[in-house]
Amino acid sequence: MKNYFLFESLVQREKTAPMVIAARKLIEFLNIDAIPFKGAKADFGTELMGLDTLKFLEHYAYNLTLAASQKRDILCIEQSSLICHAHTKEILLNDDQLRFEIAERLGKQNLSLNLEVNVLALEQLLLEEIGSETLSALVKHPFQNFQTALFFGSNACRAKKYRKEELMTQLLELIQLKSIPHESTYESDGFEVYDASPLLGKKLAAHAMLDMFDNAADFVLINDARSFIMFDFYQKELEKIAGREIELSILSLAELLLLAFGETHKKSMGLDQHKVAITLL
Amino acid sequence: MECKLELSVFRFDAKTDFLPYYKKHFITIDRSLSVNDLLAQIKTEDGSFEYPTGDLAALKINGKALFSTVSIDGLVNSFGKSLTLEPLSTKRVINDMIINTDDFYQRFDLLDAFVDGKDRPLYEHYIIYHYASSVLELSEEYQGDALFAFAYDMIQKHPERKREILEVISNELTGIFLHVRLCKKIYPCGADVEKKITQLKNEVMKHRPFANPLVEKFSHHIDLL
Repeated sequence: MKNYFLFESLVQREKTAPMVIAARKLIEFLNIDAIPFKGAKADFGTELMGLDTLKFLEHYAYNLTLAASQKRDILCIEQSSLICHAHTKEILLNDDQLRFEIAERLGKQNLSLNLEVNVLALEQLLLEEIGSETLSALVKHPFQNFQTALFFGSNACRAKKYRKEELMTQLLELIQLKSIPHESTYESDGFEVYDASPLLGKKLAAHAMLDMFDNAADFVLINDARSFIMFDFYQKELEKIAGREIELSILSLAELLLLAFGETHKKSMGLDQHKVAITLL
Repeated sequence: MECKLELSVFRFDAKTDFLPYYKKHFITIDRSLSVNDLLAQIKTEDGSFEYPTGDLAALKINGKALFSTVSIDGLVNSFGKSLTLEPLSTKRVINDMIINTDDFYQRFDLLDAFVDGKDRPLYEHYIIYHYASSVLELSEEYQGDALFAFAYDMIQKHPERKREILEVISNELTGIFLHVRLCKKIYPCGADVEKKITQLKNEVMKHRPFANPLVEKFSHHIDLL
C-alpha cells in the first residue's frame, strides 16, 4: 500500500470536525498509512475559483507541492477537497502558461512547483487497495434494515473526472444499505451561494432535504463537507425556512463504515458533535 | 434501430385546468430520430397535445433541460427507456409543453442598451440555461444563467462595454453570485457555460465595476488568503 497524507483541513473546519474525526478513526481501524497533512492550506471549495482563479490554483498547488516533496499522495475524505486538488493538478499539467505563472508565485514562497502527486478519494483507496473482500469480512452490523439518500450535489459533474460514483454504490452494497432514488442527488446544497445570500443558500438546502425526507430516507449520506455544513449544521434553520420538521441524520462515508464495522462509541467517531442526533445506534 | 419508450407526459391547459397531470404513452420510435419526432408522434396519438416547434424548441426530460433537436439514441443511452417529459418551467405553462417566456426576454432588456439588436438570437440560444436553474425557482428576480453566458459573449464582442455589462450582472440581489452549478441539469452537459460564468465572476472581481458590498466582501476574503 502507498503512503498518504490525510487531508484534514476541510472547508469551515469548525463545522466539519466530525468528518475528520471519523476519517482518522477509520484510517486507524484499517491500518492505512495516512498521516495528517500538517502545514497544508485549508480547503475553500471551488467557490474560490469563481472569485480568483489564479489564487485558487496557487492555493492548491502549494498543497500539491508540499505533498509531492514528501513523496506522499493526498487522501481526500470528501468531494470538495478532492475536486480542488485534482482540478488544480489537471489544469496546471495542461496549461503551460498557467503552470509557469503559478510556479513563479510559489517560487516567491521558496517552493518549487511539483505536481508529481496523486490525489485520491477515500472510496477509491478502500476498494482498490484494501478490497471489497477484506472490507466485507469486517462488516458486523449490516444496514439491511435502512435506506439512505445518497447526495452528490451540484459539484458532482466536476468531480466525475476524479472519482467514480459507482465506487460509492459498491460500498453501500457491501454493507447491504439500500439507496433510494430521489430528484435532488445532483442539486445544489446551497453552500455555493451562502456567502452571497444565506437565505437562498438555506432555501436550496431545505428543498433538497425535504425531497430526501419525502422519499423516506432514514438518513442522508453526504460526499462533500459543504453538504455536511448545510444539512447538519444548519438543519434547524432549514426547518424554519421550510416550515416543517426534518430531523434527518447526516452521515459521511467514514462514519457510516465505522458503524457497519461495529464501532459504537459515538465520541470516537465524532457523532457526538453532529447538530442532528444520530439515532441509528 | 427501433425502441419502445414508456413516456410520462406533462399535461396542463392554463385556460381550463386546475391541476397538471401526467399522461402515459408507449411509443415505438427509431432511435436515430429526434425528440421533435417523438413529440410529433405523441401529437398523432393525442391531437390535443401542444408542444413548441422551431430551432429553439426546448423542454425538460427526466429533469434535464434540452433542445428538441437532440437524438432519441443519446437520450436512451443516458436515461433509459422510461422518460418523463415536462415543459421548461412548470410554473409558466400555457399549454402542455408550451410556456410563457416573457421573463426570459425581460432579462435580455437588462443588457439591451449595451448590445446590438442583432445579438438577440445568440441570447435565445441560451434559453435552456435560463429555465434549468434551481435559483430561478426560488428567486423570481434572478437574472438567470442565460444572461450571464450571453454577457460573457457580449464582452468578447463589445469589449468597450465591459464595465457596464459587468455592473449589470454583478447586482448583489439578483446577479451572478447567486448562480449555482447546473451541469447536471442540462443535456448534454453544460460545462461550457459553467466555464463562461466562472470567468465572468473572475472579471467582476478583477475590475470591481462599481461600489458593490458583496464584491467588497469577497475581495476581503481573497485578500485574507
